[in-house]
Amino acid sequence: MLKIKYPILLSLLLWSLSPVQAQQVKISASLEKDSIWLGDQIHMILVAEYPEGTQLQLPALRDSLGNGVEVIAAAKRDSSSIGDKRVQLRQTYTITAFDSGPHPIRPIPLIIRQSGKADTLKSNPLVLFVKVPNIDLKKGFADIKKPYGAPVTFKEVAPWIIGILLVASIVFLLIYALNRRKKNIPLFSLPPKPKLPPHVVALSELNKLKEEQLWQQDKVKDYYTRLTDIVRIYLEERFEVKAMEQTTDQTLAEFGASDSPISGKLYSELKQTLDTADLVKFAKYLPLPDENHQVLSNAFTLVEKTKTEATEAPKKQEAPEVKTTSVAPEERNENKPLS
Amino acid sequence: MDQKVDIRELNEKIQRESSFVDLISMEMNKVIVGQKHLVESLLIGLLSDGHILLEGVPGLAKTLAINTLSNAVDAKFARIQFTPDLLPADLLGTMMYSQKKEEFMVKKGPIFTNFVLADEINRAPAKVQSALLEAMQERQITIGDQTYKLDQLFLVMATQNPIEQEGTYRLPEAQVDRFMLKVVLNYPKKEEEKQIIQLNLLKSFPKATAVVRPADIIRARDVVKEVYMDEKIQKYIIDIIFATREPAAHGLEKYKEMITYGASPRASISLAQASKAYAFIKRRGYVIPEDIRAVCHDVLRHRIGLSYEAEANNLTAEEIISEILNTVEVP
Repeated sequence: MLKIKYPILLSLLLWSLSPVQAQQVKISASLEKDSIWLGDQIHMILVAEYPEGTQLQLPALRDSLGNGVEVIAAAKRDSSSIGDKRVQLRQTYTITAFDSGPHPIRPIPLIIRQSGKADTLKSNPLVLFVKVPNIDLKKGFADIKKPYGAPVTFKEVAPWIIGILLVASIVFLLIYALNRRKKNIPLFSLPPKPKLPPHVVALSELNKLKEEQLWQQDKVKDYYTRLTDIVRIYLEERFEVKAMEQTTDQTLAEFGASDSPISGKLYSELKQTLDTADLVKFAKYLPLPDENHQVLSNAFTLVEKTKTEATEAPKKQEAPEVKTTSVAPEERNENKPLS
Repeated sequence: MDQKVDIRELNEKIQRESSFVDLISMEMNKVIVGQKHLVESLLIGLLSDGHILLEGVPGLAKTLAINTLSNAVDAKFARIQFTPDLLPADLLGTMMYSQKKEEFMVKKGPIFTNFVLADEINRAPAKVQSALLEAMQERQITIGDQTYKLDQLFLVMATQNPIEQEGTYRLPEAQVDRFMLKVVLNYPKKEEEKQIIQLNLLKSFPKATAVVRPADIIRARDVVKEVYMDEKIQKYIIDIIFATREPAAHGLEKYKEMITYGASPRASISLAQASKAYAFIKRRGYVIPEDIRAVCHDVLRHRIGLSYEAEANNLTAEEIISEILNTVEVP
């Protein structure tokens, strides 16, 4: 009895050893779906799980799996660690078939090398069922269908959108730059400062002129040029007359009428200032110091007596509404001519 | 370039030397009613040694004006009617064979005078126009191998009829530029027209008497040259001239396509000379911006080339000059 018992136990032990190895390496094959239309393409996925250090050799599936199943492409192999010192290898094949009916796919053999030993394992068998659409032959031949339009992805149109935006931006910038150049405006400029009322600017400039003491330094021509420029800019801003582009006669012709904001004594003083300035500027006239004082004083009086508090200058016809000050410029410290 | 000028002394000199201006004006006003601008332009041309191109319809006293001026100045006057068959020799003179002396003699043409009225200059062909304009520029004429100087007092007043263009030869721009002033004449006012009728109905038409000699005019020209022109005024002239050449740079972008060519340096010279003469007429020893403005239209209107676009928009040189004057800053 013992003679029989030992060989049985030994053969059982040997038998149990081979499943141990098989359990260590797991191979499975699957299809995305069991059936396809004729010519459709599906993926066949081959998955192998094995211990680290095991070498696995996949078969080179070239064109056909046999039984009318064709291999179109094989994706890149993908291996990843799944824990417990085991590795999962995943290989995807794109397959198709052009015959109707069931197509059995034979188990795919893999060669395993472990501890110098080689063994071959096979995946599970699969069946691919190929369907054929119901064709009514009585209807005759139909036209070949045009290729299906694949939906456009953002990745495809993104370069075009970026390109168009880039070209549009360049065109816009060019037009903008040309327009600015035509108008003699710098391409980039800071927003303009709020405009000061003309009388504020004029009084500030007149005070500056007084402090500079130009005529005392024999710069009589510069003194009168600056003075007339200040007066003309003030008249231009305050009364909207183009004083800077007008001659003395033309500027004086704008005023002088009884209903004009500059009339009577104010007009005479303005005339005296501009006429004296013309003589100095264009006829080498050297006025007396009293005259130099007088013209500056006239300019102060003109600005003081015709100034408005509002920033916007009124129209020429509306000009009579002028705020006059009771304090004479001579009495104001800052407007006193230099002695 | 700082000139040593005593303006007071110069003013006194001008007061003395310009007294004849009133006399000439009075004599001319005896004969010519209205046309104050024409009389003033003739005086400017006379005093600044420049020639005048007149544009106006017939019957506006163009011939009478220059004839009267020659009478008042006691100078010689010739009127030449320009026709399509006129030859340069008809104007300048030619060599003629004298059978008596058995030699060629020079027969001087009508241009050898003090005042020339070249009537309807655009009716003569280009060679005659150029002969006249050459004489205007060079102040001398060559007949055969002999060169003759023209009188020092030599003023050409050429007329153009603006309404008849058929059978005319338009003056080239380069030749028009040689006229210091182009004066446009307009019809007289109603009151002036009434006076013209009354004057012409008189038994004897008044005639100007000689009140000044050519030598006085020559001397006055030297005084005109002495009239002081400040650098600021010179800059003003340059600004105006450059505005005709580069309107966009002077804030006149809208005229960039309207002007084909701007005023030449000769225009700058003419503007300066004419404004000096104008200041002299106004008895001033210095030029002010008003003087520039007073002569600017007459000096520049024939020196600005207008594009087809300007003509299509009915834009005139007159309007462009006015706009320039309203844009360029006065010193």
